Amino acid sequence: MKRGVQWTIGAGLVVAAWLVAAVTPPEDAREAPFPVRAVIGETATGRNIQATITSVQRADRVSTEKWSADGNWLVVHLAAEAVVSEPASLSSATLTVGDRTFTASERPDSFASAPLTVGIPRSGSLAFELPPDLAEGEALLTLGLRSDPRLDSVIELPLDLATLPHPPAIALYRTDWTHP
Amino acid sequence: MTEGDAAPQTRAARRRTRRSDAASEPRRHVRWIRAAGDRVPTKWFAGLATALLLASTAAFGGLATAAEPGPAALQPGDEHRNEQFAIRVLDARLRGEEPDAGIYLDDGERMLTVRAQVENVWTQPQSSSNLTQNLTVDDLPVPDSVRRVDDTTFVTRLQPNVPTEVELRWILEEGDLADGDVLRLTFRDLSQHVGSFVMDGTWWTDPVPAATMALVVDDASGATP
Repeated sequence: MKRGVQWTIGAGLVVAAWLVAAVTPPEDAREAPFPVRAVIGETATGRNIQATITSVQRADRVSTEKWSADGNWLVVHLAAEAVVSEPASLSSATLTVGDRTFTASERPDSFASAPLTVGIPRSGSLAFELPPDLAEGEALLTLGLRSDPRLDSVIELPLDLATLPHPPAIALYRTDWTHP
Repeated sequence: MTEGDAAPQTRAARRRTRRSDAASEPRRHVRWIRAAGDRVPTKWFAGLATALLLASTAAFGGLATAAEPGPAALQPGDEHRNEQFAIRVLDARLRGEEPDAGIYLDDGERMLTVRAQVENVWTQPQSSSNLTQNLTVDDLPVPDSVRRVDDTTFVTRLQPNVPTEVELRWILEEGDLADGDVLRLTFRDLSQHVGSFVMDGTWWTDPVPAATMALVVDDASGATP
């Protein structure tokens, strides 16, 4: 075999090895959740969760009938239902910004951990309490049925914090059956 | 030095020297190695190494047993910061029943509240039990509850970098503590463990005392009989 052919085959094998290494999924990919990309105002459907996120806003004050608090809040209005089985609940509602993860605040009565019913949507609000100085950046809202989201559908909505509507105050919806 | 010696020599003299060296050397090609080696002051090596060892030992504190750095003593209002939390303990109060603050007591009971400004400095939400592993009070069990000061809701999770004023609460029998008693607080640093193989998740274990604080109890229960 000519020397040039040997070099070509050798270099080709190195490139092939690099390609294999590049496309190999990470170790936790085999148990990763199945993301369903959502769009504001449209219904997104996963295995046993279906959600319609109607708005995402930021506010300096949120309130319910009996409670209110100042801070850097991100409020999600949404409707959600189960698809195939009960019991189901919105046990996982997280907002990821950079390397930080926030869970829906348990301070107000909200849609966080609300039970979901098959075929009958309930609506309400989620409130995320954010650091005082967090005002911009890419964020990812994730909704799921279990606090451990692996191997099940999650509904994901990418957000840009800087472009969200920012009214001074928002009243959270009472969690209730959705009235069409 | 050697240059100074060599400078006055004539070229012919140097050539003669070299030739006589060549005659005494059995192998010409190792001659320069031998010549270079002879110039290295090997007898100094042991002394130099000993001096270096002694100097470095002395620099790190000699042969005396190094004192373990003990927990720092903090004052109320001082901040203790580790990988999980930044905690600033403010005060300790004994209180009677205060429905507005969510304090309901039976006869003969008092509520001890330790107030602290807390920030979760990790990247994930942390539960109040993570906090009570970081901050313990000697001779008292885990707090009966942890509440926010502003709206008195229970602290389930502390979100990353959201400063929160919290109260650690214990229900005590009247007389267990009195005005002016001193609580001994211990701030503990935990190590993060990330699960691998069959374990999954991240958790904090192996608490090590990092700081202490003496906190005087203020009996405020008389104000609300």
